[in-house]
Amino acid sequence: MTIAIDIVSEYKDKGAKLAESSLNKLTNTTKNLALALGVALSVNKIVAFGRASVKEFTDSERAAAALQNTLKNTGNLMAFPDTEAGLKNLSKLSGIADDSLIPSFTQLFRATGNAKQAMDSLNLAIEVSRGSTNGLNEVVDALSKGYAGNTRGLGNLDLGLNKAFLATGDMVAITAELNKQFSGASAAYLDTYAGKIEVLNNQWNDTKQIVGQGLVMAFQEATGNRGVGGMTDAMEKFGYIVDAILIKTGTLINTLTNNVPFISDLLKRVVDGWAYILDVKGTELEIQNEIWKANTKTWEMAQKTADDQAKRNKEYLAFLAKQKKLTDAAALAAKKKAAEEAALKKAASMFDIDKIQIIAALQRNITDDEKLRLQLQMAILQENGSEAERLAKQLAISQLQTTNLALAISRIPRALNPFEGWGSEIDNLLAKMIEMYRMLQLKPPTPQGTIKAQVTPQNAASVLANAPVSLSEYQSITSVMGDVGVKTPTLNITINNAGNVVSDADLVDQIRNGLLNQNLSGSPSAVGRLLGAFQ
Amino acid sequence: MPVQVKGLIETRKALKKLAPDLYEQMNKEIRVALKTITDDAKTKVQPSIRGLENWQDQGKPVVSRTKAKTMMAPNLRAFPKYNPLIVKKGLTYSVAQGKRNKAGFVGLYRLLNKSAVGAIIETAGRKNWGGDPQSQSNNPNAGAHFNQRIQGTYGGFKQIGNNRMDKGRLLFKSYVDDQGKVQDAVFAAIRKAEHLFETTTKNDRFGLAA
Repeated sequence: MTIAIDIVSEYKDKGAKLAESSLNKLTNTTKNLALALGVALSVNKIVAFGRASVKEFTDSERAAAALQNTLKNTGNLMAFPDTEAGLKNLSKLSGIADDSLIPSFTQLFRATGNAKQAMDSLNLAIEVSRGSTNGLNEVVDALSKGYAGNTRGLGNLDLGLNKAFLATGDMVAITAELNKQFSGASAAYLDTYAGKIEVLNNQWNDTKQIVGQGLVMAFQEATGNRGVGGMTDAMEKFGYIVDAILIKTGTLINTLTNNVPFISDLLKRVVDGWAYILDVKGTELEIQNEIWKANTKTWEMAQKTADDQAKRNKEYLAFLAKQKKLTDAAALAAKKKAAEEAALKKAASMFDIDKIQIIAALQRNITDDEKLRLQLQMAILQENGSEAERLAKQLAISQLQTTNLALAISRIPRALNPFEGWGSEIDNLLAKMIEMYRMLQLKPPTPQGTIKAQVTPQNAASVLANAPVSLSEYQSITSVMGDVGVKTPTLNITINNAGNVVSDADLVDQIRNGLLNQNLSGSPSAVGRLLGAFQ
Repeated sequence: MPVQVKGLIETRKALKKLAPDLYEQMNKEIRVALKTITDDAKTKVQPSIRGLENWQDQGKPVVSRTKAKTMMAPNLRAFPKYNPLIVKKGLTYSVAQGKRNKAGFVGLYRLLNKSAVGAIIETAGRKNWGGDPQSQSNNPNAGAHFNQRIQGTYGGFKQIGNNRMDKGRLLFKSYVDDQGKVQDAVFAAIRKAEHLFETTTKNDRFGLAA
């Protein structure tokens, strides 16, 4: 034996519960069948009802399977339960059988590729269909083609949409317009007698579907685990048995009525009597009641599921609230910690040397302005924003007041200039003096190099044209030399030619020295004469 | 009591098929949560039971002395001896889907006490504290004595929910002591996986509409 605690469990109705319910239905049906066997017609009705029920159930199952397959193939299998529930609701609200709605939904889903949009479009199609003379299938067909880009079908439905508007192919605008035009058409239709009858018919079909499901489950239960083969065998046998009863009953009635004329009347009386005794009408009512009960049970189960869901949602919200509470508590703790840290920091600041100095300075006899500055500095050190702002403002006001004083001083008129009345002649005089001083500072141009020239008796006049003393000296010496028979040599002399002319004396010396150097080999008397030694 | 959910079976199937890594991650987190309970329950297992020393497992094979094997009970087991190792080994958990119970519910995440002797410790005296009133034993007080000795060693029951049969001394007690934290953790793991799965799926073209 294993002891188990389920942490999470899920209700799985596709088994025991449904089988149990189906078995109950089978029991009731069998009981009713047995009661009604006394009247052949009732048997016929029950069999016909059973057939119709099974057909309804299989049709519905087939449509649901097709929908599931479509959603599965497009990767939307998770949307199947909601979609199926939505279609069942829509069926109940619109009075259209769900096995008719499912193919329409599938078609729209293929066109839109989105389950929600397909559901909305199906709603719209029902409204349009009820509000116009078009059938639901036609409207669904036109809408799905519209989503594919072909709006001609919508035009053909004569819904009052103009061709140019449809040509835009804007399905959002088109569906909005259709919604505007046909909204509420379905509700209005259902309010009519025909609409109510349609809803009732649909409900009856649903009921048949439920009974059909019960019958199928009953055969499944009856055949155990022998699968579909076993089930078909059981159904076949059931069919044969019912047929045999019908045939035998029919034969018996036929024989009796044909051979014994009064039997017919008697039988009729007996049948009526049995019908009265067995309360056939009451039985029919009971069957209907059972069906309605089954329906109610389904609704109750759906309601219970919804309640469970709401409860789970509530639990989840409580869980979220708990999480939020924890988060808030953590945030509060962090805030408290930060405040404590700030307080500690403030206390520690009492030992800050800068602050101590400022406090000491504040004790001294200082001006208001200085006091303000010190207080501001202290506030900044203490990181007290509001106080710092206040003091800064006060300091700014104080500075502004000081600035006003400076402004007042600047507005005092200028003092008189004692040199303002001087004439221009004094200025000119001063300018001339300055010019003279400048001229005095100028230096004479310096000689730019020298030239070397050769002096011969032929060019002496031209070379020494600027040095007349030297020329006459040269001419006297050369004439004396000629007199004594000394040949006049060619002299090499240097002359400054840039204004700083070599003085004549220097030039004479040069010439004389040059001549002497050339003629030192001459007689001493001549040398002496030349040098003036004999004078 | 276990929280009943809807659609989790489908969600698990979808996760297993479409996002196996996410499914594994979710189960891993849930296993960690469940293990806290079983670990706690294991710490409660006592080496022996005072007053029932003869019940202690001595390693000898045990043969049933009450009834012979019958057609109806071909594999009748003897009453097991007390062995703390076997009790501890039987305290475990499961993330696999269980069998449907009579009410139609299926357990998806379960804490288990699998061993027979563990089940005895867990539940002895739960139904009849004073022993079976219909007992025809020569010692009709044996049942009451047995229950009292176990209670003396393991302490009383702790109950989950309103049903008086939902109570026990090991696993139930640990679960009650946990005060729903494990359940919260399991749900958090499921929600997280669902959220991640939804986020992944929303990136597809169709999304999870409707």
